[in-house]
Amino acid sequence: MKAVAGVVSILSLAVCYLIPLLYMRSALGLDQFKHLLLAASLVYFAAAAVWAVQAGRASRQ
Amino acid sequence: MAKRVKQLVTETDRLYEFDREPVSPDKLQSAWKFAGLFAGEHVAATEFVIGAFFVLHGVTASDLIWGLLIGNTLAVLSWTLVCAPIAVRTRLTFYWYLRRIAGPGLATVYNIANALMYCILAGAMISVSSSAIGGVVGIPVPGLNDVLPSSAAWAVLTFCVGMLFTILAVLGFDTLSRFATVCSPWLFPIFIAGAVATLPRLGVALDLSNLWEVMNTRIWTGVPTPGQEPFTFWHIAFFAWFANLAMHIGLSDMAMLRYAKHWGYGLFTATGIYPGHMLAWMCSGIMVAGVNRAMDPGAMAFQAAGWAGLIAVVVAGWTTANPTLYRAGLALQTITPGWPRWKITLVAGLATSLLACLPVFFVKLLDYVAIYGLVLMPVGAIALAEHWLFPIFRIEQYRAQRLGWLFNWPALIVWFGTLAACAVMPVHLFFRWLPGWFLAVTAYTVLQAASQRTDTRARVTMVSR
Repeated sequence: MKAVAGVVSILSLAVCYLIPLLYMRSALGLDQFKHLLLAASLVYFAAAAVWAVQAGRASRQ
Repeated sequence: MAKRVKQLVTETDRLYEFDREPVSPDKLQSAWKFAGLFAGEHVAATEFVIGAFFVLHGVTASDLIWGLLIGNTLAVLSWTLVCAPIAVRTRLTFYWYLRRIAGPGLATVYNIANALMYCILAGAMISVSSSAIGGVVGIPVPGLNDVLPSSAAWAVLTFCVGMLFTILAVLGFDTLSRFATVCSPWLFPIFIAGAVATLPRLGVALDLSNLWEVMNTRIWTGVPTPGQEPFTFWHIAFFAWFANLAMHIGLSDMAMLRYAKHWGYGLFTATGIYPGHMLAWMCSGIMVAGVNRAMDPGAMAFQAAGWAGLIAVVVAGWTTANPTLYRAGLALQTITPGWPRWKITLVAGLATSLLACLPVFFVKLLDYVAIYGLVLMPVGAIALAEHWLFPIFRIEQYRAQRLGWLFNWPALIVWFGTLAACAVMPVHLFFRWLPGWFLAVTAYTVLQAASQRTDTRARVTMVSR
């Protein structure tokens, strides 16, 4: 679970980096850019939260 | 009084007991670990404000870029050539090294001063987060010249945000701190995204052909906002250099660099400094230009990157205030022996939340950063003199430890004397630390040499009698 959360967080972080590039190349409109950035950020947060809980459990054991 | 000080010292020692011993060779960390460790640093809530203030102070684009390049390079070199060599030679934290040099009493005073400075810095970060929430609920941020809260609503909001951060810290520090750590890498793309989204609004063409022109005419124009003093290349270079003065010249980062295999690992600070203190500052400058130079981090991030930007401002404030509250709590623990950790964190958070209500720390952040570094700088200068210069001039090292001094009085005199001298220097606040540092190094060396000569003479006189 921890590994999956780690992979998802890295992927969503990569998407966060990619979105401004797509916007700069006019592949996205401003609204799309903002919505996609929010969506990728929320996925990142969810994955990071799972990772943090799992890492906490692992360190307590 | 002396008994109370000794009790304080005992409590402080107990607190840092786990890192009393020098790092053993098997605990040293690889270069990759250092690169990763430093890469996550220096992207904090204050970055939203600092870069924006450079725009308000009317710096030009070329002054900004050259100033940041040179200032940040000097900062990296300070970590590499000043902090890392001492850390690698001693393998101690600065607290324990200072204890040998200046005596346990002075080390405790330093620790408490550091905690208070941290509380104010955390307060500024809470104010930045409040600006984001205030934008949503319709509470305007204070003006650039406000010292006291501009409205009761702002004070209540900031206090509530501060207490929310505090309660989160009290409830589950371990899990939340892990979460806060992983938030740092996310903040950086939000800075980039915000800046990129603002560029077309400022008139930058899609092929970036007029980027330099827009940078000079719409962002870093060379014209300060009314009421703000103009900044030059020198202001920017010095600010970038001293933004982490307490960490490099002040030697606080010995705590991390003592795990380095080689002093050259100090160069890895560049992995965090250039993205955080160059790109992020430039990004926030672009974002503030997009909102007509309104110093409102929440509004500028929302305008630039939407809800993700707004969340970034809140999260940046929280992730940086969280460890700060923890550190301040640790230091306060020395004066409240027997208190549980939750109670101390709550008190530190309460004090920080009250400080956050005062907008002066947020709207005068650049000055506060300068003062923060300046206050702790002489102690780093004292340690440097004792470490490198004393053997050259044949002055005895670690006399305080050998003679069991509670306070090394020459060190205390030099610390406060340097601060007094810096307070009256007829130069801009940003430039005072450098002559102050030379003054502290020289004064401490001369004072200790004179004191040793007096002791030796007294001993010779006694023996000859």
